[in-house]
Amino acid sequence: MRRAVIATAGTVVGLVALLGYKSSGAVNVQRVSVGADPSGPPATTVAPATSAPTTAAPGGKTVTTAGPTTAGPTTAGPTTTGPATRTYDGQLVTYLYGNIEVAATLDGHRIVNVTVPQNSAVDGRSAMINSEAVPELVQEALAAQGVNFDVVSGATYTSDAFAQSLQSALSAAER
Amino acid sequence: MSELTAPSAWARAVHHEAVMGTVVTFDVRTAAPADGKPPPAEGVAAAVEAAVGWLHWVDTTFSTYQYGSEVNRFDRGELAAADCCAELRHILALCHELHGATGGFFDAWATARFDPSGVVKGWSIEQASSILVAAGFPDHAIDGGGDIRLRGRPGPGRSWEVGVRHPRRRGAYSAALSLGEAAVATSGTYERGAHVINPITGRPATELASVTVIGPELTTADAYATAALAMGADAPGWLADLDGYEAQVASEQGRGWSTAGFKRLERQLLGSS
Repeated sequence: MRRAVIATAGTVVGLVALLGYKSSGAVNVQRVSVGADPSGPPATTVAPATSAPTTAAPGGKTVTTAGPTTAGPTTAGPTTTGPATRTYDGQLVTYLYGNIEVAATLDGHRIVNVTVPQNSAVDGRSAMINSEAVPELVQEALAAQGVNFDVVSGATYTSDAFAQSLQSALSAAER
Repeated sequence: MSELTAPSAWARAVHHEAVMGTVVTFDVRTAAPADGKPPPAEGVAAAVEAAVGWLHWVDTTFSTYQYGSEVNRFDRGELAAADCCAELRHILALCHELHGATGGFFDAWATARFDPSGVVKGWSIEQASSILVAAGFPDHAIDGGGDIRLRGRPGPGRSWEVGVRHPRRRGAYSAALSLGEAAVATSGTYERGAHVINPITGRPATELASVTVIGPELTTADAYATAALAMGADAPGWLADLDGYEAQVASEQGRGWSTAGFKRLERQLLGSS
């Protein structure tokens, strides 16, 4: 399986690369041209990861199921790791406009759910921004598993802190 | 982890540092030595530590929030330019230069005080990148809150794959780029709303949602992206005339524009692998 998910490899830059693939050349992004789109320039949207055969680890047991059940590339990781899902809490990251803590649920090496146990803002305006930004960052984190960007330009305060906390959650998963 | 220790794989060391009001991420790639042993991790750590130390020194020196910072003492007239450190004098000269090069749209004096923040971040990351190169790590990416300096390559036979965040639709990208040695700076009004002031009118720049500039180094790429955002509708014309820089502009009305060179850097998608 060439497209091994390497969420546990500690290979992180930015939010998207955080969840990206190491394999070179594998391009899993689809450009969707948008005609008269009122909300911005033509977007390069993340296509769902091509479904791959799921290999059941011998003797593995699923403890809990969390998040979407879309079939994604399943890594043939270390044989000691079964497909059981486990949730790892990231560190509470303080940034200019608030605090955020991200938790990642992994099925083997694959991220199946991302939650935000803590998210506080310094003022109403920041809270409003976060109320829009955070759910979308969660979706982005899940979708990004199919993208292999090394780095993303245009990150902002909330997304920086989100990525930092998510990274620490994934680092915890490595230990 | 077996895919990381394969002979062809490069080692990757990542470090996040909260500095200058954002998160700076260092991503250092090292080619696997011929004998198959991993490269000395402490060498990477020491180089990153030196670069991080530099960024914190810059933060302290140029902080407009700390009363006693050198930039504030200079601004209050307590310190003559000649008595400032070489770095501050360099930034001062750079601010004059950029003011001229951008027709006044990059203006460190726009807020009735000297505030070089618009150039300090890009410049300091550029220097941090040079520290890593000098330490023997020519292959790396440094991401300062979405402004990026790319050096060398990310792995054998690979280009840096860079996503440009869509200014309005999260989870979407307005470009996917394949880059070698380059700097990518994005200045936008998204998330925090308008935060760039048009120094000519004194009002917040609201015409454009975002500007992305690709250039040979981050100091000017970052300043040009900021200046172009302030220019509004005139930005494409100005950006198109810049030698050695490519750009993409997204207007608030939803129109996108990019230079021909920018389009050439956009990677072939789906089915090209």
